[in-house]
Amino acid sequence: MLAIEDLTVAYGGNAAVRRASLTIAAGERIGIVGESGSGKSTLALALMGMVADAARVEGSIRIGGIEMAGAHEKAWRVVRGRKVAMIFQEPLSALNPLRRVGETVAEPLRILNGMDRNAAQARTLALFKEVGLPDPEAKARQYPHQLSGGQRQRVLIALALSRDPAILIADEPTSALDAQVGLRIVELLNDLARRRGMSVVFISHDLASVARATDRLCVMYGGDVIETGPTAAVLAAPHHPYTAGLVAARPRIDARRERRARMATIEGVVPALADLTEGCRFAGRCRSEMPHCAGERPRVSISAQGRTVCCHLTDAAVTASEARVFA
Amino acid sequence: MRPKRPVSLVIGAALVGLVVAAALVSLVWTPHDYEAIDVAQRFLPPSAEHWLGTDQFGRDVVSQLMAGARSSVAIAFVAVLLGGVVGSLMGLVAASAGGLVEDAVMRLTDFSLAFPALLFAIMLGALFGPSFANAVVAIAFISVPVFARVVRGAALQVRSQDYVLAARAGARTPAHILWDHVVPNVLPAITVLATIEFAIAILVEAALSYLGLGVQPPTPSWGRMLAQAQTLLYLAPQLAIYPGLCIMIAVLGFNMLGDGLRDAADPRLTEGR
Repeated sequence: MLAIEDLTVAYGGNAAVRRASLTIAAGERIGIVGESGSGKSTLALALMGMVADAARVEGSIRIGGIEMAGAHEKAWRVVRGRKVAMIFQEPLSALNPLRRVGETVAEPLRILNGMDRNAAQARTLALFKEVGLPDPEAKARQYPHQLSGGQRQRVLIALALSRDPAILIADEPTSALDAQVGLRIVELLNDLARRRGMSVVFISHDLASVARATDRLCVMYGGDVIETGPTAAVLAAPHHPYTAGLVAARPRIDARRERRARMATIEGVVPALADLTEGCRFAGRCRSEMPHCAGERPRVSISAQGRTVCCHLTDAAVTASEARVFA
Repeated sequence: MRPKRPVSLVIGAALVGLVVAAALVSLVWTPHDYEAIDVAQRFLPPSAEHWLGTDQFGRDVVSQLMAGARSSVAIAFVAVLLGGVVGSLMGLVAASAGGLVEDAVMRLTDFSLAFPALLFAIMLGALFGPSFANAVVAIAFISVPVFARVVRGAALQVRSQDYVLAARAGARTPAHILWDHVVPNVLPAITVLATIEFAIAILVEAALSYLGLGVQPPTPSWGRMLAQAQTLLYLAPQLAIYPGLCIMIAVLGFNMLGDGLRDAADPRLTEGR
């Protein structure tokens, strides 16, 4: 459905996403995790063709078999909404405060899909029902500020679904919501993916919701895709030291009973865009760092289970019997 | 929950209403003919016949003030409309286009903002002669860069909102985004600024008329009434006080109206949860 190959997005000389490769099958739910500044949002914007004009995009983005990297804005408008749609982190600011939410959803249907007023209205209400908004008729007449956070996010999901996209990109859809509401949004996305056979790209830094929302996981750090694989497998046995650190740093309720109650952390911070080096970008924070890590970028190793890791440790350890290696 | 109506909105609207009503009524009715000179009736004190007395030519002061409101409101309205439309368009274009166009437009506004506004209006009046049209153009010219600057800022702020991003993600064209999202959301800023510019326009119009560069006699104007009363300050100070008070009421009214509108124009404040 979607295939990214060697995708680089650079602002000036600095690559916010560096030679990333990723494929998403139809109906697959994939999670992209990473800290702020890891390039996950830039990657999401690149999938919509919405990176800043000043950014340089190299490599390949194939959506439904069509090459979109470097495509013109006009070509992207054909894809947006119909092939790829997006929902956002902060549902309040993603809705025009001066418009009734029903109109926000109905208007693109009228103008882009050529529906008449009644058809668009009916479709809007059907969408509101599909995303589980209570009392759709009443909600359609309300302004964004009159809805709760969860309801706003449901409106945004309805808007994203309105033109039946094949892929839904959810950029931290639960981060601005409280945990219970966030959980229900995750359940809704799971439902929609199953019922519509729609792919979901779920971007988050919350491993707990990623574990619930996705089949496959893609871990990013400093603009690099450092590990991919089935979500459960990656979280159970991470290969990359950074992923291992992330998994260890998960807040856990039973941790309180342990003697050392401090939460595990990864020392240091994500390097700034301008400070990114040629080598492994986790070098400097990595506990297993080797002398050549900072200067040389590790190759990507692929395991038989379809997991990929980008780390010198794995690179050195792989043997031909358990995995194959490519440049 | 409905928030309390802001006091400034009520007072501002009342004062503005008074001035506008006076201007409109003067078109069809004034207590006396405001141009009628009667030397026998000079400097009359307030009476039932002449509510605020008469001036040095025996003209009725109330009638003059009402007709003067007409000039002030008409000039200010046309000037702010003109300046607002031109300036807002410049601001929207600058914010949408970005790059060289934005730089060009904003440097142009910097340039015109660097001119002392009143001096510029006086220069225009002196250059092209005093007339209604020139006063309008001069005052509009002053407000254009202010509108351009404020609208550009507001538009940039709106364009950085996620709902513009969401609209782009929904395959909307830049023109649609501008019309559906940017314009409605900068309109409150334009409205508020317009009322404040209205106040400034009335002051500038009074200043121009005071200097003889505004509307010409015999059309009455508050500024010229003030200028003429100046020489009679010891003899009849009330003739200076009345137009001065009118200017004050109008300016205060529009400023307060602008303040009140800023709060009232927002559905987040008026349509409760």
